[in-house]
Amino acid sequence: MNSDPLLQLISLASGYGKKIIVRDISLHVGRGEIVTLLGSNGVGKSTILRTITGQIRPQSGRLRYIGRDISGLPPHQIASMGVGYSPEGRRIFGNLTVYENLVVGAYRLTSKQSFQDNLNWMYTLFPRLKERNAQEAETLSGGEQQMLAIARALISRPHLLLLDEPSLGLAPVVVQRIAETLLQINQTGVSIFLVEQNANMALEISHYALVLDNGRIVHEGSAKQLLEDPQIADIYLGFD
Amino acid sequence: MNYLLQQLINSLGWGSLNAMMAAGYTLTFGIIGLVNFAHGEVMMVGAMAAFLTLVIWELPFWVGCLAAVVGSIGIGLFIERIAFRPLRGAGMITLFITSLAASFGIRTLFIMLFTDKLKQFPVPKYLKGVILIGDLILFKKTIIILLITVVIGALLLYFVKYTKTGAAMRAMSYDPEIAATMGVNTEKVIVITFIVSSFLAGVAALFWGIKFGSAQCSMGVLLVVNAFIASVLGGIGNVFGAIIAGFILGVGETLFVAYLPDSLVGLRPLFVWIVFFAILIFRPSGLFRPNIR
Repeated sequence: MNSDPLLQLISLASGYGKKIIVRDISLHVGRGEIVTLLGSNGVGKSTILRTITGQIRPQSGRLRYIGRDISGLPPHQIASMGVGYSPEGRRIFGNLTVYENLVVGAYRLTSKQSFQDNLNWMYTLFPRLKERNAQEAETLSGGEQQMLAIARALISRPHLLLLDEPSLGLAPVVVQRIAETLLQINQTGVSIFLVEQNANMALEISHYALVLDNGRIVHEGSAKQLLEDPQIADIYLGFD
Repeated sequence: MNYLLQQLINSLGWGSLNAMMAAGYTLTFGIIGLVNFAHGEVMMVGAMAAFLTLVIWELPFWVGCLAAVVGSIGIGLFIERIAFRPLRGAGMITLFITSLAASFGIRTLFIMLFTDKLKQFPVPKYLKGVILIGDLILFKKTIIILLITVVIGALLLYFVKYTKTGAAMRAMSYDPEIAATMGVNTEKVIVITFIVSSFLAGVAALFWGIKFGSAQCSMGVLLVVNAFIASVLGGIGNVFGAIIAGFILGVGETLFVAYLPDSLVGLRPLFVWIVFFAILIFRPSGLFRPNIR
């Protein structure tokens, strides 16, 4: 059993052009783990995720996935290595149907059979998507779009699932459903790196968590530790 | 009534030409936001390639057809590599200006090499002649052009709607950044799009040659405007919309000219602009759903 972490960031600094948004970011996601990055708006959480996906090139530090240095690789190559991504704001392909969104999500797959199998798995996880599979994605509700974004990220059976604020703008009942689904997915061996403002939901399902503030990691520990920490509760668990 | 029917039949060739050009145009318009003024020259180079093989080298007709398609694809890929790829991510206006430069450059070069005189385009015997249906005259070449348009149109629509690459193209038209994170090799898909787009222009070049029996270096200028307007009319990035819109424009333009009194003949070019401003006023997103965000 490979004990190397699946994803490793070592003193990573990243930003846009000359502007550094996050610095000295060190964290790792082990195989089968759910790790959460907490922080309020604008502190750089999305920047970190977008650096991992390859949309942004890191300024310094190391970025390793399955032991391999992936900094500077184009996004499509990183995706083809088994990294699934659910972006901030969902960003589903509104002009495509639910089914077609999943076809694009499964782009790296070459076998029709594995696509079918994975599609069936998605429809089991998200029955609502199966109902609406011929519907134009733009017409889905917020919760349904989030489910589609997750399914689209999952359908290629990635080793690592990256989620940027999956609970944003969703009703608590929907957030709960998503949390349960993420746990289910994790049971099948998918590692999850979750970025969230909603600390409650995230800490409930995670093994480990870090807190980002002003572009730096200011706190970290097991999810249990953070849940019980009064400082954290004060700042981040106030949101519901 | 007969006059109307005859004009309608006459318009099918020009309608097909516009449909082919519009379909190719909307593909690159949708996928990288390119208003490609050089698309007319992509067609022209195909026509010149056919002219070279058929008239100068006197090779068989099918070789000329192949030359047209290869010529168009060649110049299309050349322009993509030299003019548009270095500006990947640039705004619509920048890309448009670049396409203008490419258009002028290629047209000027070809006029220098071949002059802007009309070149004869030899039409094979089996395409000549007419079929009579009652009082109506149906040119054989119109039937062939229409048939080829239907077949290529169907194949193209199948490709765009039911293949993985087609889905990738449409996803990229909507959100290229996220498409890349799904594993879509965006550069490769852009190249494929240009190949398909240029192929369609090459087929249009053949249609032009067959219909008019001639070609000239400035032939692209008129059609590229129609292609642009048809793309907007059909919904940007929507291939089905572009084909329908191309026919609407081609047929409409022919009928407009047919019913225009002789004294107003100078108003011919007005039709497409009336259509253009009508869409912008009443339905700016186009008749069908655009593929952009």
